[in-house]
Amino acid sequence: MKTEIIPTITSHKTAFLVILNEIRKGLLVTWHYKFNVISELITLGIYFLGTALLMNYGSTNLEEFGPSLIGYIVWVYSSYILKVSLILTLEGRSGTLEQMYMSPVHPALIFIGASISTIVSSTMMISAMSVIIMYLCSIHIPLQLAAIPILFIILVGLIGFGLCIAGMALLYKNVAGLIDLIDNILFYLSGSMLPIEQLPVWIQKIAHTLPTAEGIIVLRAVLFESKSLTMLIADGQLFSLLMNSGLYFIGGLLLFMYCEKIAKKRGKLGQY
Amino acid sequence: MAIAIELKKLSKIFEQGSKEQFQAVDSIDLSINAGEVFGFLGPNGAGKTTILKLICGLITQTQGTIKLNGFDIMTDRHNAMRQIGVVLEGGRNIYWQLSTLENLLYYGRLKGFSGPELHNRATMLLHDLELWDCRYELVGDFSRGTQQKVAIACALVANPPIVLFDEPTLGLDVQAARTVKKWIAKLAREEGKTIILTTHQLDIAEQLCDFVGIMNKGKLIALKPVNELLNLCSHTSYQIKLQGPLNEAQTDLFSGFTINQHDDETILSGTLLNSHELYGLIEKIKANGLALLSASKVNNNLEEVFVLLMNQN
Repeated sequence: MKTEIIPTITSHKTAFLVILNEIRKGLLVTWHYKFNVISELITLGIYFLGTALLMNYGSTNLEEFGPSLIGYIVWVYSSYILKVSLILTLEGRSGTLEQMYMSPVHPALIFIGASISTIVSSTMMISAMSVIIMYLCSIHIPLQLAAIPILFIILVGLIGFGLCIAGMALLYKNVAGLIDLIDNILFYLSGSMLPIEQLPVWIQKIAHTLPTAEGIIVLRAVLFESKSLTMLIADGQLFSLLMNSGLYFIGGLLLFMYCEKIAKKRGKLGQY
Repeated sequence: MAIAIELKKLSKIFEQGSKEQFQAVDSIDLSINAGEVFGFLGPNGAGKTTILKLICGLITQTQGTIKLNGFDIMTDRHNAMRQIGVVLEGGRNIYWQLSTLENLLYYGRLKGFSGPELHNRATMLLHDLELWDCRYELVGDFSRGTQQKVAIACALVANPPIVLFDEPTLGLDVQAARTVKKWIAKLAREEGKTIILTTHQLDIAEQLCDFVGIMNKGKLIALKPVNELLNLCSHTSYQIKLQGPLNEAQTDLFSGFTINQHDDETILSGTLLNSHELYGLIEKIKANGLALLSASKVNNNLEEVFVLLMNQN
């Protein structure tokens, strides 16, 4: 008898491997659809330019649109991370979701791996898009190192938000409509293109509960008002952002785990 | 012999609406030894796939325990999941946008394998399953049979001691089905893996399985080695060979039997209740001056046993 019991390896090593594996797979699949990536890149650029031109009543004088570009970049990240849920439903249809669930690590980690993969590929797209837009519109964005940890905190919150939607996708299967709705809310109502203070008060109240608004405010403060991390700590902005992202991440993780539990109880993981 | 899979009082009830319930698996106790090939048979809706998904941890049981090589799938999921490789329906469960090699490496890492160990295992499987020449080609471009081979390779890449197959030859052509059957047999006989398969194709179960569990309405209605199952109703069927053809009067002696003439032989096929009836028939043959060449029990195939058990149930 040649069968051997597989030696036990530690969960955290497996978890790390599985996350890296998911990132690698995501990049390979993105590369497979490279033509589509180029089309998306152009669409994103046109979408920003079109919106900026509309806001500027058709004037091509767009140098002042740096803050809008930052808000737009955060929205693009949110949009891509939300679409990981759609990938999850596609995985369900193709049968690969069930295989993912037979990994020794918790599926939430696999989803986080898939989200990181999306962040890596969308960072490449966003960088290319931003450079082209900044060149074409003569937009200048002062680069600040403090923006990197802020962006990281925003992305953690967005991954949590993505986990919420992914959990719902496990139960309700078709969440494309919900993702479209959220995409639009985040674009129009969370200060992506306009400073949040210019929105009606009741919208501002809603915006502050969304996963991107706080991040956009802080990111703009760092880049355009040269606020340091110390200053952000002092005025409480960093704390608000951390709370917002932390709550979204923990809430998202808990909701995902709950939805997964229900889906497994109802036998719905592989049903589409 | 070590127990590879142990199910104790396993039940699954699906809630349908607020009050309705559907019992998909009903209090099943089952132990499968390491190195055995076990087949779940049953009509549609019998609970075969549900039980397979319960074992994989894709569905949560309502009651009972599932242990894979001693690891409980609820309390020690990390280790339990590393014991199994699963091939679900056909060319599903592999990535069509990735190449054969990329699929193997992905699934190996998904189970926590990496480095030279994974690459060596993937290389070996690609050679063994004759996939080496297409290792860089996208799986989406392959035929269904080749996709099934890739799915099998992916299930085996982490070298799990237990392999589960859901309808492994469904939709495959004769050649591809034969390759898959050969591989399942090889896994069990040469590599000592424990295999569970579900199938509608009873000839496959007959050829591959050591044990068979016949399911109906969520219950195991029979659980026996294949040989014993085949013997369940073989005592009723006999085949008797006589020398030479029969004339009309002699034919009347064997009413109730199917009579076939073959060259210089006559073959009588039919059922007898017991050995006394057989002796009586032999006496009749002797008394009528016929030459008896042989008298033998007929081994029924699994399909006949399956139909018999379903009717009894």
